[in-house]
Amino acid sequence: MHAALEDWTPRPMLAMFGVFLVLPAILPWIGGYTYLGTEVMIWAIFALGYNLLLGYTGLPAFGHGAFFGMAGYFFAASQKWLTGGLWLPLLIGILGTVACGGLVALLVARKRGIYFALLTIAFGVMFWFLVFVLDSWTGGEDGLTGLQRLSVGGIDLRGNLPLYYFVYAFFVAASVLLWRIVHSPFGQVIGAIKQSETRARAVGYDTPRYKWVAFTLSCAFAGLAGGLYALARFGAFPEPMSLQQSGNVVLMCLIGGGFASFYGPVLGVAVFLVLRDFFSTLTDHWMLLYGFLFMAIILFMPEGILGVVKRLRQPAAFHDTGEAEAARTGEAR
Amino acid sequence: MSAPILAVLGLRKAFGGHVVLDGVDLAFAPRRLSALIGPNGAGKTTCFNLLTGLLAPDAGQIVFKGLDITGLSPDRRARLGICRSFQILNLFDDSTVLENVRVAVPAMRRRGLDCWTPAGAVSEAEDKAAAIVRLVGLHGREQVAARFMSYGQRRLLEIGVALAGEPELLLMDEPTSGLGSRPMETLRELVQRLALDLTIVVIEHDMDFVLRLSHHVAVLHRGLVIAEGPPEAIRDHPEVREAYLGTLRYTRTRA
Amino acid sequence: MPDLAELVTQLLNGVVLGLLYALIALGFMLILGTMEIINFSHGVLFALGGYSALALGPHVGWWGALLLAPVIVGGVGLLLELGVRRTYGRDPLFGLLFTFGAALALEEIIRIVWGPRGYTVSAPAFVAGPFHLGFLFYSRYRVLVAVLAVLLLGLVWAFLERSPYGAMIKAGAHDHEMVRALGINLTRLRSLVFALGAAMAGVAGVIAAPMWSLKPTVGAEAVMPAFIVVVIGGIGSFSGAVIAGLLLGLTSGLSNLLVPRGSILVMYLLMTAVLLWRPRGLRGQKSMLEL
Repeated sequence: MHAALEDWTPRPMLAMFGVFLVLPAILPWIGGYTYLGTEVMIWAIFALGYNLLLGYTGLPAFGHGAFFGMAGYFFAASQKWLTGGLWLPLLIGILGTVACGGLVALLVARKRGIYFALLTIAFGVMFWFLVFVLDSWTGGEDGLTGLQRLSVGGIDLRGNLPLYYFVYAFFVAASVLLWRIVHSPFGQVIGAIKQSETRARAVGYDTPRYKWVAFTLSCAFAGLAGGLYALARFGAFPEPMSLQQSGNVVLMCLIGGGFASFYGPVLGVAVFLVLRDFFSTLTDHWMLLYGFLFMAIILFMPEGILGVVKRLRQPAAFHDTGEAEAARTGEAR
Repeated sequence: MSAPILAVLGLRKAFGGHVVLDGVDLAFAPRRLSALIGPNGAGKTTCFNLLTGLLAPDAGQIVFKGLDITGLSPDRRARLGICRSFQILNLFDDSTVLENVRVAVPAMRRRGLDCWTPAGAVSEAEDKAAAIVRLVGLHGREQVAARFMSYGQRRLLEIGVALAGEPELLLMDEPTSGLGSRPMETLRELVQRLALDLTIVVIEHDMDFVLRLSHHVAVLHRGLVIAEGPPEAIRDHPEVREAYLGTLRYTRTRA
Repeated sequence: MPDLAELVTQLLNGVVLGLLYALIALGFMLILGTMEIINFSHGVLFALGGYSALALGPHVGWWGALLLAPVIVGGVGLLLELGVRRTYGRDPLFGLLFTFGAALALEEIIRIVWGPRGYTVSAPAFVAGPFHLGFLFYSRYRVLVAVLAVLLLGLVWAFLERSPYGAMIKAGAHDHEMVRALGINLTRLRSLVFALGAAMAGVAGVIAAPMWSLKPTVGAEAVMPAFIVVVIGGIGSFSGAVIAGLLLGLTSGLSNLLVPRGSILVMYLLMTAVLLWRPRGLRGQKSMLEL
């Protein structure tokens, strides 16, 4: 039976992997370029991990860009001064981000709703400021440059294509890992917390602890993505850590339909990055279009593309109206 | 009474200047069905909130099986064996019936931090959840999302979720509220069966339910226990009648 | 080692800054408390206030700008509320994101109209020059700022505590159902609150403009302290906002003296310390906003 495979990579995911596998061949034909595909996968890793927090646990974290950005700095500092190489810096990127994320999570795990959002914003911006204050280490506005894309198994990563497939491997691994996580007992718990935190507590879960874990896990994926991003750009820069970029990842998850589907973030990232490229060719003031896009999505399509698709395909899923009617008539006094 | 499974001593709670519970003493015997009744605003749900840890008392002590649980968190108390169903339905609306129940099962709870095993593969939890769904009469609806069920079904699910935690003490807050006669029967039978193994405390307005099923009744009025005893004694208690005048709901009067 | 004059100057600066922070934070908090919306555009509305003063000043004078700018910014707030209202009752993230998008768009509009470079707004002529305070000279304008801030804070306080609308706002923050049951038009109340909050940000922008150089990003810089003030002071507390504002202003002033570049981080240290000691802020009440 397909049951075993479904636990690892359901068919839509295999399809997604297939698409990305051949994407470099297709991209030039549709006006794209390989590096765009690489960017999409890197941000997708970040967004998928972030959606664990937002879409699955229901925690409106805002300011997660800080973790994506700091990973780049951990990676860069590691490669430049500490260990050199490729794998250790990536690992250190993840570990450093997880450590910072874990600390922040300690302070915010007992909160929820807008208070939670408020605090995550505050801390996100704090890390942003930290980058500029510590500019002798981080290079401030100019970033921490001079990184190298080394070679893996003899293949030089400086070419865009090898880099693409290097990132692809992590993309696959991250997707599979996240799929397991959301379908595990832990996934059930965070889903419960999202729907009713009081009930989740009432049935015996120490919900702050689970929120802490979800937050920290999402930082791990941000850490991976951030390290890969620094690798790709030959340096770590502050701008992913800005509040605006933190807003980006939220928008990405929303456009694609992160509340409705596991794959929402990936679709959202692709749409967003394509739009970004498109908008910036239109006008210098693309920020205006971008702001309006934000507002329009929130007002008219908050469930995202996949949310709309889901709604159109299954209008009354599981709605056993017949049974409900019978029960209601039986209930009449 | 043999050692009570739950004892409440001098429980006091005020909101702002408004005193809701003014020194309440209660004791519930194990394996008995006790009812907590009283007019609206008497403090019954507040009492439950204090018992389950959603609220902290201003004064007083709560002792469960000899253990002082007054300062413990709600989840800790649930793990100790105190489970509660809510007056205002508090379900996981987007999850299926089975998922609702399954997440509350101890076998699943113990593996809460397991991020790898497919949830459906935890067979012990799956079996236990299926059994509970059957028990509350929702067999056949396991895959229906909670939000799409009828009110009566949701009430039953609400109890199912509380039961899933394998409680020693089950607190039910107005379980029959809004139910029609058929689900009410299901519920009555269920509660009767459960009372053999668990200790149950019910907040109820339906006097028929209370009089037929409970072994012991405590009456709360304006934050104090004004009467306690077997149901017949309470029914005829003058103070209770006065407190309740006109607010009781009978589905069938007794001669 | 800073000398006494420097120290006192910085402390006074801190008080002035703190009062401004309190004013900005209060407007933010009103919106937060009543509608549970994190108004991201609050900073940009502050900037808009400053820019309005810049545009209006030559025509109606400084006092005219002081009166008109909040009206204009309040109007923008009303418009924003028309959009935000579709997000009420849903995940708080949506309201936040809407105002976030609005902030981006508005900031870009400022950039389009006035350009990306900074402007210096000069203080009105009648307060030019320093105040002689014994052993030191202090900017007269800052004294005016302090006086105005106190006046405005007092006005808002009086409005909240004494007027029927204020009572409704305070009630609306906690119990929407009751408010509705009392027949209060919740829609109008929310519009009012948003407009009021925006106007407060706008007026703060006007009076702060001569102190800080006016550039499109000044809003983002102003909104962060507002967040921190609300966290430290506690959501829903007027006194908390004022105390926290002053606290923040003073620490900012002091750290400017001792650790100039780290002053923003000191704010965060303060916030973290308060959170650890009093998770709901200094004067916050337990609310639906947290466990």
